[in-house]
Amino acid sequence: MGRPSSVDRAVEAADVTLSADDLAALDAAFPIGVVAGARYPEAYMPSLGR
Amino acid sequence: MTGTDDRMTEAHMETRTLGDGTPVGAIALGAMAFAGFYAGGDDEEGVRAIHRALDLGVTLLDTAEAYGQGRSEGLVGRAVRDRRDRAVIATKASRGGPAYLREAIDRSLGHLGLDHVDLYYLHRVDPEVPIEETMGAMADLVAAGKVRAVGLSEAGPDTIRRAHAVHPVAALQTEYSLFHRDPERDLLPVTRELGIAYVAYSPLSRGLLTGRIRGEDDLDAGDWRRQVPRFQGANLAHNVALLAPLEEMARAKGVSTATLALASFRWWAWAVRRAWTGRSRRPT
Repeated sequence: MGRPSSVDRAVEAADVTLSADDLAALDAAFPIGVVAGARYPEAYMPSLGR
Repeated sequence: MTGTDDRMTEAHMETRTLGDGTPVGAIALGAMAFAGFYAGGDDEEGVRAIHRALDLGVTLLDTAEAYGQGRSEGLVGRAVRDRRDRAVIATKASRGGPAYLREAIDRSLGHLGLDHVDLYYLHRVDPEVPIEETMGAMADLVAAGKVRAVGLSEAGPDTIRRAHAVHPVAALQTEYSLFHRDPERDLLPVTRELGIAYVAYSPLSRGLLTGRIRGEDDLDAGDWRRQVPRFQGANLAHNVALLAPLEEMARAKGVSTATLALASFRWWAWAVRRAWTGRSRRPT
């Protein structure tokens, strides 16, 4: 959220309505583990979730 | 959404409550990018972004001493100087232990130009110091009036419980997005059980969920994300391909991919709560 325009896009999210079908579709599209590659450099991973 | 300041009043945004009872806007502003982790960072633009956020009902401003060795804290402090009462200021200590924390809070307050912060996080659990000792030191900072409430960042469930037994943990902050839903397994349940507010960071997966990063060349040479495996080579190509259903749904709703990715959280939280209680009210 580094730019004023990003702030507007983020706050707009509070006005978006999602149906149960929408949520189910997102749930199916983004299950845990679907992303490839660690979220931090590998050497840094041990310092997370400790 | 331009030119709608009058309509988008502070009353417009839903609020959440930190563990100590402090109300905050449901969407917070993270100030890490202002320190140039992703691109150069522009202080004037950062101040304008903070002012815009406060005008739209954001109240929780989240920084850390580690973000540019005080640069981000300094920018946040400057931005709120004439509107301190509208902001809930959170910053973070890089390490634990009484001696470190006593000095770190004074440095952070100096960068911010404030006499207290509303929320002080342990940025990473310090393997050198038992969490009980660090929380005891945090409680001393609360007693001294320098800190209103204490939080943990990237802590595991056992640490959270041990910490909470020494001094109330008002907030837990960890990464959480459509691209990192692991907190649903073990962190969301423990925060709910203990009455701890949950704060998601990198809710757009450091920009991946905006759909605007399609390849490594979209990142500047000095961009920290180039060191992160999920932004590299075949991993990145795989992850960008995952965005298709999100982008399609965003188009159908007439909103940006980023907006939809963020919106999904609020509804997700509702779905998770419903699964736990069986009777939570739908978000309004």
